[in-house]
Amino acid sequence: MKAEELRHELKEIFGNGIEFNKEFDNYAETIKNIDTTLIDWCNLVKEGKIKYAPSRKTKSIVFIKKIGSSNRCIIIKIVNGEFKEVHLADHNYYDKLRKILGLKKDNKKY
Amino acid sequence: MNDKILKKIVDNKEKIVPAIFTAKQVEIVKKYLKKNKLSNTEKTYFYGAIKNKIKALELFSDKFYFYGKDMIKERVKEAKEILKEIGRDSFVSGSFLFSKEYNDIDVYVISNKRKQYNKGKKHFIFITKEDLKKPIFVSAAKYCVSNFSIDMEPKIERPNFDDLIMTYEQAIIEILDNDDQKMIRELIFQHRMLIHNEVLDSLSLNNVFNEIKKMRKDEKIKYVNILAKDLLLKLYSKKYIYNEISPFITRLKKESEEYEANDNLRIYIEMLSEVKHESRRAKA
Repeated sequence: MKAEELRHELKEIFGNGIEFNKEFDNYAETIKNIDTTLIDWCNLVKEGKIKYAPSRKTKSIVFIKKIGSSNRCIIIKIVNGEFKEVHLADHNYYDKLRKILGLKKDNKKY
Repeated sequence: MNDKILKKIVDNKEKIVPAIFTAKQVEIVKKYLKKNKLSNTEKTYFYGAIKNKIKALELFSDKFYFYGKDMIKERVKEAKEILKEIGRDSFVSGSFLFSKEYNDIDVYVISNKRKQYNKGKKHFIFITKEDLKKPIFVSAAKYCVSNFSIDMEPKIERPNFDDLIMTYEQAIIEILDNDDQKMIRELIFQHRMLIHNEVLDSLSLNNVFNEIKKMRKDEKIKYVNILAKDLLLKLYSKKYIYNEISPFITRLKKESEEYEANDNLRIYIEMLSEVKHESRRAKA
């Protein structure tokens, strides 16, 4: 499945308001079987069947999925019951995004 | 090209010229190490006569250091070959050295810049000298074949409170979902380091982790709860914990009523309530 089709499918699930990260297309094209992996999982997210790890710092709900061994992850953010963003990228991006979302902070000196 | 040997040649110019290299050849080596552009004539010298001599010298430069026990002999041999090829301060670590089955070969290279990439089965991780003080790299270095002597002095840092909570939360989700459970590994590592002041090497960590993986789901949850509780109560002040956790528990209770997939939320509430209770007792 091409990135554009995948975006379309995800919009069908989450609504037209959903936004994608800049690298989404690139990863959508390179990760094997991304369409089935991602779409099935997103349907379960939408149905409220996926567990999330709540952050104390953000009121939004963030879902994380590891895809494959190379740690590509996706994060879907819900604000006030509405699905807002889908991110698809590598582990470094994922770490940065977690910091932005308040899911991770830099360590303090012991 | 083996940078270590090249450096030795430059540093020992007086002893090497004219016995092995000419003064001109050493100058070319020096230029190469400084990353200066070589002229066409210099390139011919460098990739011809100099390279051949260096290849011969490599045969005498096999000094290796072994950290950790019970490595698979054939893998050690392979690790040495890898290190010889790199020719810079580097070490091979990870399950490749002790496990029959492994995903990739972790090759750590000391460098000025950080980067990582895969080349076939090899996973190259370029780290700085300063990075070697990070517990995660000390853990790798404590079980490795290296071509340089490694100082194992970990710089231990207390994790951010929210990071610790997040690691714990993800560990519980991984148990419930039968995922790879790498976050349990992370919690075991942090617990040993921050509570027992011991940085586990990769084999020891792997052994502890494998034992935990054999447990039943409920036992694993209990174990992870104990680790998290221990870390929270010992790393942060009781007052801080009490004030930070109380509103979070209230929120989790609300969300667990609203959200369907809430098994994990209930486990968090139970563990955090115990921590809150113990913090209150200590405060009183």
